[in-house]
Amino acid sequence: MSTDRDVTRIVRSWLEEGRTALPDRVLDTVLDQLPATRQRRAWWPARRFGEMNTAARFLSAVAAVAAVAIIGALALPRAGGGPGASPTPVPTPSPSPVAVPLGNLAAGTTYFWDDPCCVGGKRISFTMSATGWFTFDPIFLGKGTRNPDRFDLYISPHLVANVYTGGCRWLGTALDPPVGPTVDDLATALLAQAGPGSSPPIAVTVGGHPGKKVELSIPQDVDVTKCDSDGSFAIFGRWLGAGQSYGAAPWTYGNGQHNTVYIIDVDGTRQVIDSMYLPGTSTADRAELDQIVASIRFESRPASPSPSL
Amino acid sequence: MDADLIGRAQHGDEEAFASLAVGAGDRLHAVAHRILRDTDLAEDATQQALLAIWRDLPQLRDPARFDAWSYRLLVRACYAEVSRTRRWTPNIRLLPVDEREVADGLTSVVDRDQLERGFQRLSIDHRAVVVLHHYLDLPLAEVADVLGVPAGTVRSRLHHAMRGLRAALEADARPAAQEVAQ
Repeated sequence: MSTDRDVTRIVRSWLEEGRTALPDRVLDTVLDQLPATRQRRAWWPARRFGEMNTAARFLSAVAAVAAVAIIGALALPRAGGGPGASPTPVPTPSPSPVAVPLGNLAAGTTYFWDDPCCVGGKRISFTMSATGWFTFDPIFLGKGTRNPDRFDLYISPHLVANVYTGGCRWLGTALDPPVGPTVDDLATALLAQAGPGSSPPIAVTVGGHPGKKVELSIPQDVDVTKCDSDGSFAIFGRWLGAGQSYGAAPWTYGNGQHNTVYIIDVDGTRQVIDSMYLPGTSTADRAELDQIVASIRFESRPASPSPSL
Repeated sequence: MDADLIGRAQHGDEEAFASLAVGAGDRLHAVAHRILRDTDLAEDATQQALLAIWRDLPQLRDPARFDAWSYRLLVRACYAEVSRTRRWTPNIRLLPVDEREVADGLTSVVDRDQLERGFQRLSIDHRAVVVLHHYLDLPLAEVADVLGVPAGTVRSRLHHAMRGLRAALEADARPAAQEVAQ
């Protein structure tokens, strides 16, 4: 009888046999199809604020100052300027939402997310109520309140395909079979990941649609810089995005990070809105996150103009 | 893999991707061939995997992970090929005899036949684990990562697969032993 070592040796030797070269015609077929095959854009920020070079930071700072000046100038006439006038102008939503731009966001403007990476059947609009929010990637809004080099809070839409069970050690821990398709499936899976003693999901309504809210905190004793990496950054892995073949979300910014995950049933499509704040974030800043969530609306996409014949 | 080539291909440079594909094509095809045990299916799976790599390349954050990431897309393409083929043919065909080239003489003709049959009886899940671990020498944790399943599942699949292959090899040895005894 063969020993296990014999079997392994024989199998390895057998696997070495056989062809390896890919015929040129297969490669040619692939290359012929490239022009007609659209590349999928990554959903994550291409780089963090901390990795921007000095010139980019300067330009960003200039843009931020300019945005504040413009907003201030626009807001002053509405505020009236006289005695008794409200010191904090209430932003008036722009008449029709505009796509989230790269860079600084303007208070009082209604934006929309509509990237297929992270937004389901209906596009998501929201109104910014405060200044200081900016993007490196249009689906990822953040604000650095204490250190301009990093976000202390952010909000981002997601479509979730599966859930990791390992948290800091998430590699190889995706649920098998994957998490089910409903709001409750995902809420239950995330709650299980959160561990004993965590708060149960809370029923919520966002933009007129029902859902669940799950509160997730990274334990204070976990050093997130030592968590499994997606290849570039250490991540406390909670889920795998739809259409993603590798990696984990949400974006991890620091020890003790707290995520509030809204899981919404938008006419049968499970839409996730993830918001995050780091420990020490002020109540006022956290309230800005809540204001963005409260302003969310799910809208049908405008009909495309008919192609001219 | 050349990080510069990957970076350029991520930004839509077809020429850079062509260089990548030339380098990766043989490696991916070798793996597909060993999982699927069929020349046509392996070529189709490799073609689909290369197109998926082109399509999803902007999502790859770390060029150093290109190889492992490309194996994941390849294994998915292998699953898709088998699932597509099952609708039309009852069985996957065996490798033609003339494609076997003895590498180091460890496997006899009988062993190869027995292994081929034993391997054909394994599911694609089990074959993928055997090939990734014993052909590519990937550690089990990395196999788990490539396949997107827990490490325990990989260990269990490998155990099951190797037990099946051992049984296939020993099935050949048993009749001979009985003949001696008679």
